[in-house]
Amino acid sequence: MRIGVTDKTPIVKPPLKVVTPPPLATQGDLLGTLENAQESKTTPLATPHFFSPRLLMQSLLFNSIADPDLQRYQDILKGKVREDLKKFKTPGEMFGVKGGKIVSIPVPKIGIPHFTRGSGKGGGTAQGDGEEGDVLGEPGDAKPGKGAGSEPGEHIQEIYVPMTLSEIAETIIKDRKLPYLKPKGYGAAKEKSIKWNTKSKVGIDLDINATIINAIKRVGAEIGDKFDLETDEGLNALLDQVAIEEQDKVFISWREIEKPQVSVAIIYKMDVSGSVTDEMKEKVRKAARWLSIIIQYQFGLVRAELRGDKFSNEHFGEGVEEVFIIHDSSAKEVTEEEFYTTRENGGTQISSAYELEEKIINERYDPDTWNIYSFYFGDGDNWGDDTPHSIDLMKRLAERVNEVGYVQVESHYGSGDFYDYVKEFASEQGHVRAVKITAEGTEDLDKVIDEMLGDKGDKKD
Amino acid sequence: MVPRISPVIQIIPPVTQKTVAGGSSAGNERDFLVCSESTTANTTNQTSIELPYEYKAAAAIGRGITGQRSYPVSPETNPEYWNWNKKIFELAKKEGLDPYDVVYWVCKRDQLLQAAARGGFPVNVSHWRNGMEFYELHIGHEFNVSRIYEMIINNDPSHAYLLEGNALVDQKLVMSHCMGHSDFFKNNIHFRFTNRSMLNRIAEHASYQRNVMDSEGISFLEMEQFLEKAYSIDDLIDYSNLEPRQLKYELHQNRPIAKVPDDYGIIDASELPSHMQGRINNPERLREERDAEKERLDREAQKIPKYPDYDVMGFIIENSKVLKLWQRQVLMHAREQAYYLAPQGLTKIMNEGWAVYWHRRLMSHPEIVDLRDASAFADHNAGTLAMSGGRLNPYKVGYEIFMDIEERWNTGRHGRQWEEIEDERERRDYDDKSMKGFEQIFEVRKWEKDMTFIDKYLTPEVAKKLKLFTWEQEGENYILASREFEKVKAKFVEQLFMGTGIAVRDGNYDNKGELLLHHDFRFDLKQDYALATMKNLLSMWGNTIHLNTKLYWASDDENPTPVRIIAENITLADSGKAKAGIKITIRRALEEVNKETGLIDYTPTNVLYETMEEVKS
Repeated sequence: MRIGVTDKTPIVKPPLKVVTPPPLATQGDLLGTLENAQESKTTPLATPHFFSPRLLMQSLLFNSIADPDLQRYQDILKGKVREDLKKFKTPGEMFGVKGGKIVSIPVPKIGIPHFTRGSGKGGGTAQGDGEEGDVLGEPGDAKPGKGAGSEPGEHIQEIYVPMTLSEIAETIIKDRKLPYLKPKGYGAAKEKSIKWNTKSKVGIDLDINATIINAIKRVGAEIGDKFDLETDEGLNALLDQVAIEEQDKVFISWREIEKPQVSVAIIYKMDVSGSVTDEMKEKVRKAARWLSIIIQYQFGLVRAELRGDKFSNEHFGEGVEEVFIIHDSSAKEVTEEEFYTTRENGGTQISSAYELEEKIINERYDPDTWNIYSFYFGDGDNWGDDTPHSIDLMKRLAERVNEVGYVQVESHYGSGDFYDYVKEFASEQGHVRAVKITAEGTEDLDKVIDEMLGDKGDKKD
Repeated sequence: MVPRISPVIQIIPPVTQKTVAGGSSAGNERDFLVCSESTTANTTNQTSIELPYEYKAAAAIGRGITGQRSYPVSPETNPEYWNWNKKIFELAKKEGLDPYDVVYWVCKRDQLLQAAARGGFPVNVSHWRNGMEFYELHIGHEFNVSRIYEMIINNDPSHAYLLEGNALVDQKLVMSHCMGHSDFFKNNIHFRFTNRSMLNRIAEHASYQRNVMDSEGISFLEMEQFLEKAYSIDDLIDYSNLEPRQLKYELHQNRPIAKVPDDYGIIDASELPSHMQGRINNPERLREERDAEKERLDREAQKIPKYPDYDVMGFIIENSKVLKLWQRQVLMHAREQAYYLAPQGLTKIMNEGWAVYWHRRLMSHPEIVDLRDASAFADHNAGTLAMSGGRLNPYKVGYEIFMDIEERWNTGRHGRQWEEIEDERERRDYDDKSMKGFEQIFEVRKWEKDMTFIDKYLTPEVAKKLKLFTWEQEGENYILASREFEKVKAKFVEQLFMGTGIAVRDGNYDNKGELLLHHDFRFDLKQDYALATMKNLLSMWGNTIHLNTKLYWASDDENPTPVRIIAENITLADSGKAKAGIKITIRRALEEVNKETGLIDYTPTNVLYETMEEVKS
């Protein structure tokens, strides 16, 4: 497209005051820029062609700074600080589209109280379709001014954006510690791994920050005396002299390191026999899930600490192996999914689960190199003759593993007496723990976690 | 060598100067960072072009942006955008607009959102509220719920943001849109008192916050909590008078003391013989002088607003007896920002409508958009003008009314002569070819605000086109009440009334130094928020607060009950220990007109509700 030469409108003033050179104002000039604008479809010169070290350093410096206000807000949301703001927290919600589906995104907000409109009494105006007398929406979520049609009618799938598993674990169980954990396998097994933590004079990835600092050091040593480095002017003048030379360059390099290893096996056993109602199964599954999350998080922490790393989400659950066993009158090993979903009807022999567990430990998890945690969930009903055998097996197990846990769920009609046997035997040893919970509600899940993972003194072998 | 850049207006309170002189660690850190001010200038040394002063100021102040590799559009940094900017600016001027220069900043999404969360300013007072806004905007962008089309700061020159990586047609759309906004900022009468170097001013607010925390030893938590209190009353300003009144309180002024000092009026005569002392410091004269001084101080203490003062925030800053120096300053900053934003709230519909009108006009110009881009432009424009169900879209409403005004004034379909025509068809087809539409919209842009704009220029035809309706609450539900034009317009105008309508009636209520506020009832206050705000006011005023308002006491009440809400400091006796506490009382009130002043007064009667709680420090 060309602009006709007949266009005689003079340019009054350039849009921004550029001092030199004045891009005023001839027709040819305008024409030239127009043609350029059409032709210059190339990538705009986003960064100046000359990299001042100072500019670069600044940009590196600021890029690494996260938004402190956002950080603070997230801390408040998680309840780490400012308990007093809790009452003004509202569970906000947004509807968005992801993968072709409408999803509900929780956007919790904290209101700052001010004098504002309370009820919808008095009415207002809005825009949209509808007949007189139509109902516009739920009063609960409808703010004045919000009306019909703002709620999508399609199926809404809930997604949780704000928290990862380890964040949840962190909020709930900060103070709890994994009991009796030992750095087993410390000397024997070491993983080999590559870590990008070394500087080198040759390489591919230039460490720009270190390079610039080197250059500044070198130039400062050479000509630093000529400048007054106490003042900004002096410093600026010096920095203007800095240019990177070959000798300043520093590259990032890798080194092979050996990581000390520590591993955990968690063995969950559950009674799925007919006497355990669905409600009770739900409850023990919840308890098992929480224990699993907490152990994985705590173990991640321990492992990170042992290796001198900083804990991150990647450490969550690393090095933890989980074994799931369900039993009625016979036991079998299942996957995690099956463990949380299977129902069976049959008699109950607790010993079957412990037998299978012993077998698995013998085959796969040598107690010398593995930290083993064994949990049992059930209603405490057992086949009469089986109880002494089961207790024997438990005792044998207790000598080999870090902790033995027993969780018994009670329904309205009471529960079995296996708990009493375990309790009797548990009182002798701190690392054998038993707890009784009710099937209803979720309040006593805390009790399970406290009992199973609380500090009860050293393990008495 | 680039000289250090000083802010345009330098109002530095004494405490800040102390910090700089003392050379604390914060001062040093700041000095180091200020080195970055010349980032843009440095590149220009290479090409020996000096950028305008505003760039440097912005680079220094908005280093939150420059640091993160965003850059201002200039012939060096981005010639393509620069050329388009120049062209669109020239075209806008040719078409009759009178905008400020606009500096465009190209930045990445998160930087744009961070600035948006701070009211458009890259650097602002730090508070978690900014984080919350950012989080919401971020999620909205992530899931395609909301999208920021444009953001522009009312400043001279205006600063606007372009999202890096957008298509050129989008950037041109934003530039055209900004022309409309910038012109509106410059020429609308309600913006005449806004500070046109607010970018600098707000950076000063932020640096004051940082420095005062260091120099006064204020903890982060204390500052945060005080800011929440400040924000909780920052809508209590006078929207009818947009020129913030000069506060009588000044920083160097000593606090007035209600007690006459012991040595008042005594002349130092210790070197004179003793018989002279009795004559010079005559007890009778001293007593008279002291009495006169006492009376003066009493009068000063009893000072009340002569008329109801809607600038509650200003009144508290001036008259509170408990605010510390830094708290007063932070409140003043919050008030300044509130007054700066007030005209934008008052003209939201017009401002957006005007900008849409102009981007459509400029973008349909063959010099700006060629046909290949036309469909993309149409898409984006449709997005802006979409009627999302239920909510009022200010872009759409404003645009349609501006278009309607232009058409009606072009054809002469307004005024008495036209209204007196009775024949329906003749009315519709009336055309006197006066072609005054274009002039008229410029008049409207200059003089009106949303309320008067809707009142004068909303017509039944446009209301129908916009599908406007009124809604009412009926029991549990909200229902569509009416589409009748008169009702819709009346409700709409009422809804556009800004501010809560809360005014200071008496700053020395009951001669006890208590504060009486009065709410001109238009809607009932949200109760839990209102009580929490009363507590905040109490801590800032330091003495009992009274608020006259009306509440729907029972949820099925037809008419609201006039009440007096009272928040006061009390001492709780808890197992022998005295503890500071707050008592909140709601009393039923009698409503009557004060014959002397002609205002409505409330007389509190029986107690409806009472609660006490301990203050946790």
